[in-house]
Amino acid sequence: MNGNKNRVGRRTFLRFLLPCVLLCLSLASGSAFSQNGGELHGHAQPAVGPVSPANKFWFNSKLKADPYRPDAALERLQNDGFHPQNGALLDKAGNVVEFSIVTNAGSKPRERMAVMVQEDLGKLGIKVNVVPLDFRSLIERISQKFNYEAAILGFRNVDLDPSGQMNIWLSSAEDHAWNPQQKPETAWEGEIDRLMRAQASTTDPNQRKQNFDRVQEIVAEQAPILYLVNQNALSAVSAAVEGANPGILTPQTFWNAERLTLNATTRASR
Amino acid sequence: MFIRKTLRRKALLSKIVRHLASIAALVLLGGLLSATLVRLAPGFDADERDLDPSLNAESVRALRQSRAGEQHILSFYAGYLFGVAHGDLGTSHALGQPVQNLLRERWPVTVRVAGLGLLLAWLAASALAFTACLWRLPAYEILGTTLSGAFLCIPAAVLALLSVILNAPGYLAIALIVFPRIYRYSRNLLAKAYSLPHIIAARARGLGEVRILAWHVLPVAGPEMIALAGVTVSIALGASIPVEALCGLPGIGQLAWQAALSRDLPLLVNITVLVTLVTLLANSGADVMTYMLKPREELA
Amino acid sequence: MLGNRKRPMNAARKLACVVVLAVCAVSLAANWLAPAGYAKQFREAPSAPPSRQHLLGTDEVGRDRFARVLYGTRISLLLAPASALVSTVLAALVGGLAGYLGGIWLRLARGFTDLFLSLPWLFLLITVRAILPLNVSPLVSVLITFLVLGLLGWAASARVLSTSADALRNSDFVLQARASGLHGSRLFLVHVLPNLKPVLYAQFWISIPVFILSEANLGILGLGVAEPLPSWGSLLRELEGLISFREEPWRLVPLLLLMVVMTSFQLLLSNQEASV
Repeated sequence: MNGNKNRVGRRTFLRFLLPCVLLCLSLASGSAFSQNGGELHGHAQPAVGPVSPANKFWFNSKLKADPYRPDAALERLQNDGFHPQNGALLDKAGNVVEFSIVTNAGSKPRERMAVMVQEDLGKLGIKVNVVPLDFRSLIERISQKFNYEAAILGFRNVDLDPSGQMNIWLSSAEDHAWNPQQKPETAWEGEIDRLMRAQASTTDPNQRKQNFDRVQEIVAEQAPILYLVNQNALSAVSAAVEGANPGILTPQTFWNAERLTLNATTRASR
Repeated sequence: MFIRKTLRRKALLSKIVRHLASIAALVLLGGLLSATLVRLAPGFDADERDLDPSLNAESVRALRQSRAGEQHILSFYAGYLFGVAHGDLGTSHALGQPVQNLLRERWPVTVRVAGLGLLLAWLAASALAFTACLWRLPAYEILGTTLSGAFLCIPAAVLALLSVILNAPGYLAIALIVFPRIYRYSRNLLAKAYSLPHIIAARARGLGEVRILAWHVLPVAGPEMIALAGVTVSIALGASIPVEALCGLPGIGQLAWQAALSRDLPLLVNITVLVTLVTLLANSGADVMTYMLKPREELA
Repeated sequence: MLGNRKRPMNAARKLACVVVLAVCAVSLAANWLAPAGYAKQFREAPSAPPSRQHLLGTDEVGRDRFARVLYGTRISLLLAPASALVSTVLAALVGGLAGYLGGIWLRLARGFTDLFLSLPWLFLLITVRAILPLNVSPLVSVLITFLVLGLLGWAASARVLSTSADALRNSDFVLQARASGLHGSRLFLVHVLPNLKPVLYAQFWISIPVFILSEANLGILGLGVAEPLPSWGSLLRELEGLISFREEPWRLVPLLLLMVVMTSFQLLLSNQEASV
């Protein structure tokens, strides 16, 4: 399971406007990242939820990533009352569909992802403004002022167990990014609250797995967060180092530091 | 003669005292303004750990509470000045160490890197500008323009990275950043001085180029070049931030960058006060030197 | 003798003129020379080397670098000089006027500029970004960026200008002009300001590439030219990730273009007397 997942979060007021658009975001953008020509040069797969397939026990294998189908995305939008006009997508009231994506400047992968999302949605007529911000301003907008429309970020998650994500899924928790810091506003958030508490209250792994699988299914259906990619964990080790056995979790290359040595040639040259 | 000397000395002393008083006032004002800028900028109350899902609500609130003393700028600044009066510059949030220890460890690195870079830049730019004026060869003019234009266009971060890749010292990157600014100004100042009528008359009388430069051009262009020297100190200090950050040099520039990223108010205020002090001292020094080089008749 | 010295300089100026005109013409013809445009992403060929289809290769998301250089030239060549003009005018007003007035005004202006040079303006720029709406149009964001650069970039040369103007205040021709009855703004505009031209020119020419590079750094704060609009600054930021220049030398083309154009401008308008 990766330490960082890249996902798009959204603000409350867009819940009326964007259910279809977000679904179409995933249809339009998801696969682009992991194709051979994508931003990650084939070193990733489209993500379907908060858990990477590498986390074999907790990953819900029934979930499948949406394939890249811009035509299907446009069709779904049109079914919901959006219509293209002069290259732009308009809603039922005739407003141009336009929103901004904030991300932290200085993170080139995220900036490029935002640019790719901008291009893909532009093909549907949706105008996306990419706004890279300095990290602290971004955190303030997302966690305190809630003054943003969409964001590309990653929560730092170093725990394989889903209980480590309670602060995100519980509707009253600090890091709950949609309908923040409230009792559950929707039935599905209430259901997630119940399931997360249930899995944390039992020691039966199968029951816990069942509960958390259902959480992943609800998240995939309701799409409060769009998971973009699960990146491969890449390591680089010098040929001069012996005993390296890189893993997935950090610290990837020196978790067994006491067993790492330099080879004889390098030692002799020093 | 004696009375004129005494009057001149008194005028110089009074000028120095006025400069020192204004430096003190401006340093205090600079500290307050920088604290205000940092405090009012968005992201001051935010912390990367706000997004850490392993921290509960109380932990996040405790993190925010730890900075409660910095919420009101005037009371923070008053507390800071009180601490300074007692030799305490505060403690850095980001690094968890007393600020005075951090500055004491790092200022020699910055003085060495920025100082050597500045010296090298002045030597190179002055040599190029003077010889361009002495020889007056178009090819030389084109070479100087091309060189200074080239280095002006390369981003500071790229110059710093190049110095890392080529294993060159960091002060070389600073020298290359500052050199084009010095060259262009000094070249134009010298060109303006050389176009004055008395220079043409001096040449017509057969005076040598070195004598013309030393006795007739430098006194005219000198005061402005000294003023430029004061300004280049602040340019070099500004250039030291990306150079130290990218070259991994543990100087004040690197500290300033870390402090800016983490909105470390005590550290930022102290660094601003230090930079303001150095800038003001350099520029005031340049003003005093300019005054001392003025012909006596002007002072009468 | 003097004629011999002038000939290479004139030839250099002619070449510089041709270069500048060629760059402007090519950037204006971007629609025809690069019909794919600056935003289209060729996802199957990211970071590609130069080819017939992509003369300067592609960037990390597959956008044609040649198209981005052409369109970026329009933005940077138009707005950076405008920004430099703003900062030069401000420097002339603050520094030149203060030096001309002398006394307490000169001391106040010098103190103000020294303070201005020392403050961490990074935080003001972050605040400006916070005030702007997120959905600001690319044109507005570009204009605001270069306006901010112009408003913040005047202090260093104002310092030098104040010393120059102070020296001019007591010069013979100014004294004569005063004795002839010329005072105030007319004396400043007709006699003092024109004699500050060498320093003003230096300030102007130095500012243009500095602002082009600064615009790129402002991207870190959310200001700067908004994606997908290209600018020279954003193209130059690509160099920060370039470890080996030998493997991808085509990525240096925006830098070379900037150097050539800036040198050409400086040669075109360098002081005729300076070469004598």
